[in-house]
Amino acid sequence: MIDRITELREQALAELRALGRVEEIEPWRIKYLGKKGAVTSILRQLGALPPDERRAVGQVANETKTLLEAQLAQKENELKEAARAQAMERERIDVTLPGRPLALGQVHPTTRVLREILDAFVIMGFQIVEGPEVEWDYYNFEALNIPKDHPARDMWDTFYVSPDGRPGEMLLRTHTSPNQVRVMEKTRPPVRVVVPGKCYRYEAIDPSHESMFYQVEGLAIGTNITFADMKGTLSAFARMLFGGERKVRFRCDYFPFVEPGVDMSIDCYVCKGAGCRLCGNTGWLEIMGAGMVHPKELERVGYDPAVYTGFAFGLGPERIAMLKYGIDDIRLFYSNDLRFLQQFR
Amino acid sequence: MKVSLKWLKDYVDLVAPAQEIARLLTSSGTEVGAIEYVGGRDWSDIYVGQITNLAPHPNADRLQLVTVDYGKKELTVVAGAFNIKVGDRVPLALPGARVIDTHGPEPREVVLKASKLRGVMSEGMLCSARELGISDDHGGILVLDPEARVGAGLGEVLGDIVFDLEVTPNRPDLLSMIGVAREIAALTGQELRVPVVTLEDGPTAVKDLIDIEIADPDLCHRYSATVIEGVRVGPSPGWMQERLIAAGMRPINNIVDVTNYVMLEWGQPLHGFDYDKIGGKKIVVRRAREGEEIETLDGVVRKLTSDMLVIADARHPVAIAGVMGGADSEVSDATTNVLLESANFDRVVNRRASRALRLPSEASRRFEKGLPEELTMPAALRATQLIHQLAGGAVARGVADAYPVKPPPVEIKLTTREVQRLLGVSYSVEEIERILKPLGFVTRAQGGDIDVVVPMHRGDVTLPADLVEEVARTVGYDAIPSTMLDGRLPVPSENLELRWQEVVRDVLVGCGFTEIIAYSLISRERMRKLVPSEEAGEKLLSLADPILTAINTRISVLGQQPLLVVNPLTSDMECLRTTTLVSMLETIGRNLRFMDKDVNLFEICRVYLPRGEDLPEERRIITAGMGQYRSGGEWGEKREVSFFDLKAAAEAILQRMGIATFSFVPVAHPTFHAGRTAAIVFGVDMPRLAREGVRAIAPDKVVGILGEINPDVRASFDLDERVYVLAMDFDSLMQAAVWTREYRPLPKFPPVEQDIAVVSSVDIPAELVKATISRAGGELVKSVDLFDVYQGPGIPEGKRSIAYHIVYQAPDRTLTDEEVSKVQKHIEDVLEKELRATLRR
Repeated sequence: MIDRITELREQALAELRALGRVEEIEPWRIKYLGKKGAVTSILRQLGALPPDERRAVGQVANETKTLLEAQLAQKENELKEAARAQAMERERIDVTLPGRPLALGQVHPTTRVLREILDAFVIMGFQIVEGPEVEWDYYNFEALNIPKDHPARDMWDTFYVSPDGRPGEMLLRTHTSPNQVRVMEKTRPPVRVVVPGKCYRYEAIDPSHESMFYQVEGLAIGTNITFADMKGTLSAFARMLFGGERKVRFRCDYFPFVEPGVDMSIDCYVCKGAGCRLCGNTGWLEIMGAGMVHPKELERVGYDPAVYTGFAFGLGPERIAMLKYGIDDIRLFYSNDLRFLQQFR
Repeated sequence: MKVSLKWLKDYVDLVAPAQEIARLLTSSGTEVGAIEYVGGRDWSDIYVGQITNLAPHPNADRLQLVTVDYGKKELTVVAGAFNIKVGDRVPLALPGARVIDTHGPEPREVVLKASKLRGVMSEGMLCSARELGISDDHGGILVLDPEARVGAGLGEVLGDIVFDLEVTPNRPDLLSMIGVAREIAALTGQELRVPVVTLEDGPTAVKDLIDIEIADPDLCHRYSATVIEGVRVGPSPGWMQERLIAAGMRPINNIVDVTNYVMLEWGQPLHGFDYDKIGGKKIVVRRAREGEEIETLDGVVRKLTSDMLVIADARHPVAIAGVMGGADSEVSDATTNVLLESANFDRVVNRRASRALRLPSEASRRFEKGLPEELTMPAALRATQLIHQLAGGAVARGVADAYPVKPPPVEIKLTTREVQRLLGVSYSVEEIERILKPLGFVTRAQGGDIDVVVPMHRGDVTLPADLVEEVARTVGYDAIPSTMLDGRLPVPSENLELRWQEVVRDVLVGCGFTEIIAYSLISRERMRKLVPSEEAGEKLLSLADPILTAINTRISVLGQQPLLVVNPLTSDMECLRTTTLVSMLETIGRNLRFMDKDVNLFEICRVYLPRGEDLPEERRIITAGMGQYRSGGEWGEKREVSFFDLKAAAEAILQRMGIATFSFVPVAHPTFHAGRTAAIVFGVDMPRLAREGVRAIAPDKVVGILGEINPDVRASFDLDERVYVLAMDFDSLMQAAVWTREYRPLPKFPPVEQDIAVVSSVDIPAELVKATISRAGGELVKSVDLFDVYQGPGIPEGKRSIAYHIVYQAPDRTLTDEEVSKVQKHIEDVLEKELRATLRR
């Protein structure tokens, strides 16, 4: 009897090993382990055996059943896994095919840079305000110490506008600086604002000149604001935008509404100061004009220049973008060619 | 201002290399825009050397060993030329110098290195004219002037270095050699040398020769004149011509050249008259008479106005003051007696005249910036001396000098505390004095105070802050420390406009739109293209329809006279835009030339609506546009977009701004497709709209327009595919926007979902059907979503079926079928009663 069981076991295991598909599992189970299966029949016959033989045979038969059940489970797992693997293999795709087209939008590169510039000043405590693009001569020039017939007016070629086309006092602001005066007229110190916006110049358009461009004006007024603070603030800004390793140069320059006046440059990141085409062989890239707010401007808005000091600055986001991204033609900004705009995703 | 360093050395010793001087000038406020090496090139590291010994080369017959002394030490170089002898002074290039390599097929610049030539180390090179880049002469080593100083830089001996200075408008003193020399002397710690003038007085007294009258002393502050009798007019000497040319001026004759030379030297413009042409021996400085004429030096007869200043003789104008001389009194070859004018004219009158006559000149460039009255005298004396020296003759005794009011010198009290307060770093009284004195300021220290007298040439300095700049720019801005701001901050206030603007930007970018920024300047012609015909334009302007009126005056503004540019650059940029649609359509058109899909653009910008004599209203408009196609689901596929794609973007903006109650109301606008255009309106009462039409809409609730562009308008923009445009008034949206959000608990009880297909007239807007369902269903209806629109077989002509998915839900219980059926029955009844709608079964 035991021999028969052993033989049966070997036969069952051999058949099980030979199975190749999940569907073949069930017939095998029925054949050996089903209600009428071979092993079940043997177990059922145990009762007919003499008691001493029954125990020995019973033990072997039960062990065989347990073994076969375990082997069955294992085989079943193997086959199912193989089947799943096969099924997935049939669904294999070429993952190097391109992504499905999805129309992506993006902000204008000027907006992108403006956001960076404004963020840098906002984290230094400046607030963002705006002002009109169509301005009075007074705010654009006179309140900034540039009276009519002042030779400094040549520094800003101006578009004048009027309802009837005749010259008057209305113009397109040539810089965002009128907002220094507008902000100070409306508030009391301390002042810390940045003013982004479009500006206009009567200028023939070429790769480095545009008749419309953006500026960001900045103004900080308080009781204890110094030239050294201006240097610190503007250097911090330059490093936030252009990287911590940038060197910053301040040199004297003239703007009628500041005293002392400043021109700020960073060292050329292409040649590292050695001189190259980008920096016109100077090693420096000018990025903004600045200075301590002129005492006469403070007086004009009713700030006592003996009590308050402050600094102002102005910079051009297009210039910053051109430097950051290596753009060589300012006209690309406002001709709105998607092939240009979509490079700044 | 072009500054020849060779010339400059007359007034100051240049102790630093040109590059370093340029750096100092630039850093202190006068940018050196360019450094020009006249006579060729950068000759740094090339010096004047003297030959002390010549010896044969041990290994080569065609080379010799030359010992050269260049002041610092003696060097041995290997030379291939034999045109030299002991004692000759020659150009010695040291390693590092840039010379021209003439051996290759093309001459090219190389950096010289010490190298062995046939076994002997050459520590430098003796150069030919060709190797120095001066000429093609390669006949041998260039033998220099025997007077050339041994050890001098070659640039000092040969050629010149010219700085092109970008002089800022506040510093007319730097439009002169002496001014620049003073600046360099102060920056480098050297002495300034001013030419000393001694005149031999002739027999006649100048006051017997000329009488000067200033009729308008507010416009002419001083008029000084000298007379030189018996001059010989002819060419000026080579050295003077050379200097004038280096400064960018053209030599004319010795008299004119002297006036120009002294203007360049002192910064004071001068004018020479032919004395014998001055009628009545009298100079009158007066306003021109209206319509008075003068023929100027350039041969043009010019009509003058009474706000111009002239120099007249007893009868006629002989010059336009500080602008240009007259042709009649011009110094010519026949001139023997010269009247030399050195005057001070008001800067404003000068600037106006030179601009009005379009005669910018070196003289008016200086006058318009304001010159010191004190300058007329030294310049007059210097020029008189030079004329006498170059053209001979006799100098009349004295200077005829009309000087009505001598202005007092400007005095400023500067404190060390003020310097510290502005700069954030302190300087001692001594340091400040040491900085100011070389610049010409007279200082007197009193404790922590310094009384400063401003020199006449620094009219730009009037306040302590100006002196602080002098201190800062002289020590160099880089020497001032950097600190971070401290102290009180302003009360924070958020800029809501910018916040919402950024929200809208992000929504549109998320919807696949690319931001554009278009020019604000446009033309009326271009704006007119937005109406297909004159009748359409008139209809638009007849303003009968309140919605159309609202759109036209606030959102896509048309027909309004824009603000005009007085001085436009081009005729298609002659005015400020009142509408954003033109730029949008033009930009879509340009991009469609190279993209056949996904041209989805938006702009957030201002339009400029005139308000009479006041500044215009600058209204912010959100504009979005789509071309006809977008990418499809599969690669390379394109699918047609519709009105509803752009509408989704509009809805996304409104939802993101927290605006819940808005409607799209059909509207006719000539720029848009008659059947595919909607006004975007806040808070519309749909049933009232159905009953009363557009009268139910308050014009101030109209915030935008959305639609397909009229085919004729498209054609005028050369757009041959359908284009959809959305324009919304940003300010209205912002006012309705809600930043906060309110949480509603998630439902605890299951929903019951029902679909319902409503058959109604095509004239009944879907929005009304939906609103009716929501209202009739009451609180239990949680959502009503459209899922199908059908017209065709099975549906009567003139009607359509709209199917909705309705979700019923109660917050406190599970709804029973009976409850839902009851509500649905009620919905059906209301639809039937109010809209004559039936259910499709």
